[in-house]
Amino acid sequence: MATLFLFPTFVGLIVFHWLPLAAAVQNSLLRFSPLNPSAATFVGLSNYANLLENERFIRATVNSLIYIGGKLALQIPLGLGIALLLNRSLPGTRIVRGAVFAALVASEAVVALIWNILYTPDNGLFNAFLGAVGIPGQPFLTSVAQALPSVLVMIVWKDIGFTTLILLAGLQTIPHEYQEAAEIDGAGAWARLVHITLPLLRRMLLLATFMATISGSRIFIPIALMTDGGPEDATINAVYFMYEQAFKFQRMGDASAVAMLVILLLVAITLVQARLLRTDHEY
Amino acid sequence: MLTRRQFVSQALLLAGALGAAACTPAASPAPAKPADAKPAADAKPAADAKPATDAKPAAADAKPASAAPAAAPNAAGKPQYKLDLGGYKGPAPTGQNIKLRFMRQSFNPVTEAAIKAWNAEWAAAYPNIAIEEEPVPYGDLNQKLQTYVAAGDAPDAMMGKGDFIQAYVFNGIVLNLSEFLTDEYINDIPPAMRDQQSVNGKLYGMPWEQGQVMLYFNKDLFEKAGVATPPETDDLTRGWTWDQIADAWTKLNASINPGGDGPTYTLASSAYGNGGPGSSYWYEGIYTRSLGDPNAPKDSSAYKTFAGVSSDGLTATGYVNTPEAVKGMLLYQRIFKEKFSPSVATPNQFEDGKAATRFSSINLANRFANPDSAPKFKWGATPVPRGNVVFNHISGDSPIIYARTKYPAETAAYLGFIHNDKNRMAFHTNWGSMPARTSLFDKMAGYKEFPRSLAVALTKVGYAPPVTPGYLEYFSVMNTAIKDIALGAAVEARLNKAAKEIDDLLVQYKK
Repeated sequence: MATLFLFPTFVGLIVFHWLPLAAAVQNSLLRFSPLNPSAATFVGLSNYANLLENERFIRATVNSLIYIGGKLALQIPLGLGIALLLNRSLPGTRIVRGAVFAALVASEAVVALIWNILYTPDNGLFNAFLGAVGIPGQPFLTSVAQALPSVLVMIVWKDIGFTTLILLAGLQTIPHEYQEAAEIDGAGAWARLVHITLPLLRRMLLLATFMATISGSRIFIPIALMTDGGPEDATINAVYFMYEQAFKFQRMGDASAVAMLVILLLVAITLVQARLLRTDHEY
Repeated sequence: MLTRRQFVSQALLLAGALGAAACTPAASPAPAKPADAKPAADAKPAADAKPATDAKPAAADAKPASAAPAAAPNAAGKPQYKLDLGGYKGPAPTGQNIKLRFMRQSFNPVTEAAIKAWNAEWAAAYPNIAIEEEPVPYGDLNQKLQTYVAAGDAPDAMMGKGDFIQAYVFNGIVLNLSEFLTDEYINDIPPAMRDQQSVNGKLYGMPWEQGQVMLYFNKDLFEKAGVATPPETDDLTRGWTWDQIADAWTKLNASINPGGDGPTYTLASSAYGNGGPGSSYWYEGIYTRSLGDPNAPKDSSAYKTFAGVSSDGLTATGYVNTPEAVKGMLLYQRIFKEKFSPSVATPNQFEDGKAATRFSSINLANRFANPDSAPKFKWGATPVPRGNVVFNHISGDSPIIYARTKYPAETAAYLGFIHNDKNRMAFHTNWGSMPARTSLFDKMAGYKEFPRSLAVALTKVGYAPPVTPGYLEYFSVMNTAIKDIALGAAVEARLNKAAKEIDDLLVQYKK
């Protein structure tokens, strides 16, 4: 009976996940143009070898790690801070919660276009603020130095609601008695956070970190709409590089090889994260 | 009952599976040998490639909808059809119930209404041949086409680009239209455009319209800045040079945009591609290729600059990074460095009176001629600035027939119908672009008068994009390089890098 209930999900997984994955593995060993898949030739591992010698791929991979690292460094602490605030019934909590989650449910493409306008050099809102305090306008999306951080800030703003949601759910499952007991014993707010809240939140932190890592590795729409991977490859990541190979350069085999390498990289990162954040606490 | 630990670990596993799957590109279908496509692996480069349809039209492998006999010929020997099918000369469309799919770009409501009207006419004459249109945003056409072809389920007809005909033919995804169209119709296509959309003398794309680049200017802003305006002429020899327009831009900028922060600019954002810098090689390529010379010796830098790629279509180094190309790109970089133009796409600047000049096609003048969209300032038009030559890329939107269509004749008949004189006139009247057939100029009002006469003159200096089976890749690499240059990259180094990238990508087209 249980098998029967699981069957639709199982079929869905096979059709929509595992078969495409198997096809991508197969494609990564071939060389062909999307305009002529029938002319595919078997090239073994040469797509992988070419990628590892490709400077742009290496740059894209490094940038992917920067996106992931930057996302974790900003999104997890900020998300935790917001979750802690929302967990207390302060005035305006409902409004803040709505604002944070509104960004989460907004279309990524729409958000990217809006931020494009905010970043506009001559009449964008951000440069207007800077101008008001006497700071010259900044080329947010058009300078090699600022483009990646600018895209990253937009992504964190967009995704922080998800991290907040996970951590807020975690906070609300921590029994209140633990906090009360610690408070009676004289523990301050910081001590309670470090010694009670964070250890008990560890699994949810792992989940939030894991999800942020996955989403950080898959950034595409903001890059495509805001910078096209430029200027001078400053914002290109592995996923955008993969798109380029497939649809701009007609190299589906190379694109599939990129996908495989990205998956391997993600598996490695998440294994390390799981190891670092494992916990034996049960409550 | 799951413990929290089990729940979290299963959630992680599921998320991992989702993430992994989302990272994979779409799988291609199991390879099925297309019609008569010559496999890329051993196909010859386009320059001397055997066209996909040389051996036998793809459709010949597919069973036609019917073995319909050719329609009874009229006195002139041309088959009779239920409708004016324009230049179509093939067998009468089938009497069986079939459906044709046509992917094209979406147009404005008034043009869509004209398209709806001709489809209604088709449906009345051929109710058994349903037309299923798929309008998509213009910028998505090429990617959609590639995705459909990769999936092996492309529409019977698709709006392709003449620029990419070499690539389509190389990969065997298009039918030879010469088999379905009269010589009279084919010869009515302006020669440069006909050559662009042909391989080995066979036509593969059905030119939809013509575009050209001319320079529009806001007379009020020129007057305000005390700068002389360019000549309003259709005599291309009297237009300005790049040096002259750069000089005017410099003077204009000092007056109308002294701090460089707008809101009024000297040159409007690009009207092409994504609208920003590096918008489309179709436009930006003019800055470099116009400094070349088609009449110079073949081994000279001037000729190579003009050609943009080697004669076999497989080498870009020495063609896209010549001293002339560097000079052209230095001027292009100046446009953004000195803030003549904004570094991000900004729509409608010229129309709103916020830019002194703008590169655009005759469509803009046609729009301005409409009282509802007439600008609130005095404007003029002048030839595109010249280098060694006055240069335009011929425009290339063109429906193509998918090589694996089951209904080649019916698809060609439908394309013939939407390209007949009446439907072309309806389209161009509403959309404002120029016809891609010489005979239609005489029928359309105003093409002997300025500024439309300038558009006609510019079509005579229309040149095809660099001829290579890898033009899709070439186009992408150059767009990225040009954008980088606009945003400050070292010009020569960036062009050298682009040349090498293109060379590496073109290797796959070598025998």
